[in-house]
Amino acid sequence: MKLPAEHPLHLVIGLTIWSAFFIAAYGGLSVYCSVAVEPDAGGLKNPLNLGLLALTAATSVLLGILANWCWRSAKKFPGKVSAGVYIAGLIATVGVAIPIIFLPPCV
Amino acid sequence: MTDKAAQLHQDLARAWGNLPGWGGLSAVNHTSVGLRFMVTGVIFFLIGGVLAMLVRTQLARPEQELFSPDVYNQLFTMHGTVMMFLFAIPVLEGLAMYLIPKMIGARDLAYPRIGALGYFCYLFGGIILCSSMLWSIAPSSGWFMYTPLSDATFSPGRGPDFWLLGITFVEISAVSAGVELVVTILRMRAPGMSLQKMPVFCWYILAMALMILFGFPPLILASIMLELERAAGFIFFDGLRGGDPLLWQHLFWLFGHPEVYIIFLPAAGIISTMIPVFAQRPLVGYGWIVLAIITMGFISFGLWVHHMFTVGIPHLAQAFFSVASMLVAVPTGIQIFAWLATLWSGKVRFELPMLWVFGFLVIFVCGGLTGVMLALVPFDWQVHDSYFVVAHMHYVLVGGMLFPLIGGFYYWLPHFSGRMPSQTLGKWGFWLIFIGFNATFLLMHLTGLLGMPRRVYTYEAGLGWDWLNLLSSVGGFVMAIGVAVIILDFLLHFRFGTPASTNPWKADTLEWAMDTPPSPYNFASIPQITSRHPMWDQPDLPRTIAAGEGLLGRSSHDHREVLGTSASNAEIRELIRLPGNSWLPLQLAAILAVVCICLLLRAYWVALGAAVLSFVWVFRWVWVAGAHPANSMEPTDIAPATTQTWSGIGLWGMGVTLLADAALYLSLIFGWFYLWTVAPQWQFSPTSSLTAQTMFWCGLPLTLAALGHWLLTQRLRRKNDANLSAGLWGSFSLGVMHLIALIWIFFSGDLSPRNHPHHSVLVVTVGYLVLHSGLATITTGLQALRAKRGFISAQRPYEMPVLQMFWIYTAIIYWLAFVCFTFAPAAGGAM
Repeated sequence: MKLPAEHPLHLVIGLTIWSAFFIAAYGGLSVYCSVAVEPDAGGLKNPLNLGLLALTAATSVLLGILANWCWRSAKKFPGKVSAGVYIAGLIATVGVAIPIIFLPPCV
Repeated sequence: MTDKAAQLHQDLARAWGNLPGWGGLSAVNHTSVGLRFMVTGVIFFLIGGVLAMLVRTQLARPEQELFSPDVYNQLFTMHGTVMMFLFAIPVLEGLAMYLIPKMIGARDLAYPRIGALGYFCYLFGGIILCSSMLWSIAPSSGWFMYTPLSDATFSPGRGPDFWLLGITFVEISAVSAGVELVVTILRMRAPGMSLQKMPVFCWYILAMALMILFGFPPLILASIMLELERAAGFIFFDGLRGGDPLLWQHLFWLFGHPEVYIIFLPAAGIISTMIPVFAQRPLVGYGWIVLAIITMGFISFGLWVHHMFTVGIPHLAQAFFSVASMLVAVPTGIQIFAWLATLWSGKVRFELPMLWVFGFLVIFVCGGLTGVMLALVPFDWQVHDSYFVVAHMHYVLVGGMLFPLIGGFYYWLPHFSGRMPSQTLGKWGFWLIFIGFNATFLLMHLTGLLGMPRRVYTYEAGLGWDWLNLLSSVGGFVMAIGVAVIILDFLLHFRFGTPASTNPWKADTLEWAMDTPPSPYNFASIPQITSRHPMWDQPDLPRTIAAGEGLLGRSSHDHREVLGTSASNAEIRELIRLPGNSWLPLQLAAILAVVCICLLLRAYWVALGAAVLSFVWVFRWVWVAGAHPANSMEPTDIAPATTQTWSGIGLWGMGVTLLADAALYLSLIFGWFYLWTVAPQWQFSPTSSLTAQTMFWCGLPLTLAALGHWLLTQRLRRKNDANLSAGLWGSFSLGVMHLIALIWIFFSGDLSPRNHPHHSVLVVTVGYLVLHSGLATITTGLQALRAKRGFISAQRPYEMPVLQMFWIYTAIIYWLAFVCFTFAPAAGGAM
């Protein structure tokens, strides 16, 4: 990775990734509900919930890898805090995604 | 003080001092501007407070009709508007503008004239907005101005126009303050003050400033769109004509919820600054607090729909925002535990400011807990639009902002005036406000749970709300008396306060290393920082700074000189010459005020003329900036002059400004996409002019102009400035060609924004593109002239990368518009 772990940009990348995930989740849901013919026909096993779970998994893995790398590479303050930001992003991603397991879209 | 040091102070005072008398209006010094922000903010607070008292008087008894429903609507609308837009944010910005340079060891903010412009925009915008009350035509649709209530059908008067134009005017100041605070914190810290040694207050302000840059543009855009709908018949929020009123709610709350944290973060910064001082130990968990600040800054942007739980969105979407709303309590909790741990492990001195810290902790924790309750969707449904929400909001905002702010005022009062406040009056003021506040708003939770809706101008007797409202009103007046006592204390202390000793609270931060009240240059010399707690670990600092033993401790030849340092490690990068006293900010703000007033009066041609004049003034301002001879500096061995560098504060300012600009543009794209996918009556309406083909050919010269400027910049990097002026004229010509094509496309087509919402979006977008292309083109023309005169050269490349960044941005937004408005609808089978 070109950007060293101590680079201040890492302080914002983790939660920027979370923001992109959050926009994709809410935007995806909104668009899906506006175009789906029978949005709740499949219950929880519908393209949206499954797609969002896949997105959650991918985002979480990415954030986990970045957190691990940052924590191991960083020797000083900004890097350690950046690792914390990646973990915060990971927790926020998983937290926001929990309802996907229980709630169908568009209801 | 030695003769040499005395001479140094004399020289610095001459260079940095304000002009006497009316000349003070030309002051750009951050101390003067910050204090003006704060004093003006307090005056608006008193106006908002009087409005609140009128509201409480009306509600004290059932079936009372002191005010008509319409006047009552104006009262609560203006109370919320004044408190949120004219008090809370500006006063905190003023405090930040006053303190940040002093805390980081700088003599001023990065863009002093921008700060002064922001102040005058705030002042004039606030006056324009409040003047509506004098004619009883104040806005009356609530402080969040929901559509359709605020549209031309249901609010045909001028009230919403005052709100939309006045607030947009005021927001210029917020965004400008955001830009200069970000750049100052990142690029002007004293040498050695790396990120980990930065005072925690600066982290809070950095987060707040960045949040302003992303949070305010959606509201600025929404205000422009609603004003266009009201005044010109455009279609954005009218559901019957293809718009959607919920779009307003989305855009408003995209601003509105982060705004709560924009207000809270600096207040929490005050708390995090004061607690270690009075606990006499470093803050516990500095790194954790920084993590919490960053997390809060981001997650607070993912909560906006929790204000819209009752509008009918899918349960899953509600659940996303419900979880996010609960998640944001975690970083808040981290801070509270860090504060408690600091107090627990320190030796607390119970000085006057600490009263406000304890008041804050009690009230804000209660407000936070009811916030988590409201994050639960079923509970929110039950109490939505009831007085429970009003109580929660005031617990969060008064507890989370007003208490820390007053505590901060008491803490820094000796810094402002050199005198200590009265203990007796201070304690009386605190207890009156604390008791009055809780009497008003603790009971109001119950009023809400008993079903009283907010915003009713009166209510029937016997519903169980009578005694609660009476006590709330009594509590409100007790609180008002407390505010009066505090104001009295502040005023009296200037005359009767005991003179403050140096560093009276034994604080650790750098602002206490200077004389109080401070000199206009803050530091006679710039210290080398070796610790996060410079005043504790380097106790000799006040003496060495005053003696001129630090950096820049020499005669500055009447120049205002500051150091530019690297963002991460604060290594010296450049020597910056800041502008002195200037009338440009006042003049430009006055012209913008004329634009605002003419728009209110619907005198559009005059408004257009004033708008053109404002651009002339902007370019006049630009002409004397950068490497203009007026900004020349003597060569030094400390660092190169900023005009000799490639990544000076100008480039940083452009980059940070474009973040806000991009936020506005993305909000516009979001609005268009939202209307396309959600608005029931929306339909794409083809146009004969804005086709893929015409837009492609129109974009070609723009791209070539940007490319040409980029090539010239790259050539300059290789120290080759031959024919630079001619090359810039080439880019300018291409820019002119693009502009002519764009304007021709716009006027030759069949755009009908009063009939088609799609066309309304297109018109706003094309206007946005024309504005950017025009600015880039004209500025390139100015650069060509400047290159001819030697202001830009291989030795002075400073300005080229600044405009280069703007050209790239202009090209990106054009092609993004091209993709969005030509390919996307076609791909969706709509055209």
